Amino acid sequence: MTIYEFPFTTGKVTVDYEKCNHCENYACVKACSLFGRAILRVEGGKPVLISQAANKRCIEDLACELYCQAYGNRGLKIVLDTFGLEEYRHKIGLS
Amino acid sequence: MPKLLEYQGKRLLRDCSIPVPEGGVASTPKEAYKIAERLRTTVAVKAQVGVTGRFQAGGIKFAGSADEAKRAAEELLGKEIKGLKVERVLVEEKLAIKGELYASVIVNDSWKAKGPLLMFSTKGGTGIEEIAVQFPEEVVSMNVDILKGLTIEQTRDLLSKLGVSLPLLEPLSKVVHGLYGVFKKYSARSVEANPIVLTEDDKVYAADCHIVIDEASVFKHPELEIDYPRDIGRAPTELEQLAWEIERKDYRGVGYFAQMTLGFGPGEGVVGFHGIGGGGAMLGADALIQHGVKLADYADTSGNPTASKVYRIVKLIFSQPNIDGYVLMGACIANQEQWHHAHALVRALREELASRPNFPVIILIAGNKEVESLEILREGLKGLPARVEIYGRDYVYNVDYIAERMKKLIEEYRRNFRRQD
Repeated sequence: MTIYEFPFTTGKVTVDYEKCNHCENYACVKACSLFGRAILRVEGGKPVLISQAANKRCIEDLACELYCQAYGNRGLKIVLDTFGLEEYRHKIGLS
Repeated sequence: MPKLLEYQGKRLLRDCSIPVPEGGVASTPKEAYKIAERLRTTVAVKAQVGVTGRFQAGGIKFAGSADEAKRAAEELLGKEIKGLKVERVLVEEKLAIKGELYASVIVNDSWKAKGPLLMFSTKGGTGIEEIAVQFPEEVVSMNVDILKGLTIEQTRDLLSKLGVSLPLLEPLSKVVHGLYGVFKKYSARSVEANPIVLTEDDKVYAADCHIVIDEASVFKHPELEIDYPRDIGRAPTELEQLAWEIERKDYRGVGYFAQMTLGFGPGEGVVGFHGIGGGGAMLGADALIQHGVKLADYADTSGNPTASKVYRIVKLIFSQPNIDGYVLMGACIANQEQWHHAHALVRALREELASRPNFPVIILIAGNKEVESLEILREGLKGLPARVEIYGRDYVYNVDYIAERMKKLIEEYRRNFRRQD
């Protein structure tokens, strides 16, 4: 499994490139271009940052993940820092 | 906006060379004893809670000896004053008062000014609103050019308008000018010295002060040690502290969250409230309350927040156990791109609603990118087991309808809930 990863201010994006091999529409790249700051492009059939520092321009619109999950091959996920909320929910019995 | 307690405010005044009564802060009766013993004079023992009218509420006591100061501290520490627990007392010398005056610097929000407004009155002790009504001729004010600042000469000129006597003019001008210094240095919303006391030996002191720091400048002043810069009139809950953590870690846009109802059980009809835009959010909250809907919280995501911030606020709302519904009252034509809210809602609600059959959800969202946002929401929330209703700009001026719908959905949900019981 090849994982491509990059951080942004309050979380990170992880992409499972094996799933991208079978993707036909690159919905994540299109979504970033429409809703975000167009920091992704397709290179060698896989989504990558347009430059090494482009992640700093991420506006955390969450669109890449939603459109990958809905229209792509579900290879891209966003992990958001919840600043203690997950631990709180676990403590009070909400998963 | 965070209000500083009197002892915190007086530290800032002292740093800007404004005379304040000698004293110290104590969190135990023993500490209060030591301070009073050091002062060797009659002292005032003042409960440190962020409310006005402390004297009338029994929060200020006088003591003629260190033993009496200790007893006063014993009485005050742990006591509740206007719903706030006293954790510290300020022990300071009791001043021999000859006269009381008033001075403050506030932000003048008028579009003509948009800057600091300096106010001064020869009548102190009560609120400036009452002073202005009873003695309008005893109040003077001036707008200060924030770029040019305030000179001591301008301050003297202002005070002279009220006929402040010559011997008093210099020390008083220094105090009033110093207040402006505090206002600017700490990016305050307001700095008030009330009363400024003229003592029997003709000295001038800021005897009490009220300082409110601009919420957005708290980050610049870690020395103020403000860990929860919201003015909610009580200690924050764990969820409210988490909400502040979300805000603190990401400045983009506003994510406000405060709990309004605590300890409610399942099926009590209490809903999670989420608004957009200060006025629109309040309009929506008021409509819901008027229609008998109980709100668990008051949340607001405005100022073009990131979708990640909106997502976290929605997750916070759903972290309140036993809510019987969720309502987003975007009762305004917002200029922020609403599709970021739509994406955040889809992500959060898909996580939260999958295990909540028939859970009532109403979303009212309007403004920039509204058509796209409504489509994102309709597509993204399709197939969930909850009762989701989505509304756009046609309902922005009809929040009563939204409130009525919410009430109806909750009633249906509660009936189902009782049946399941």
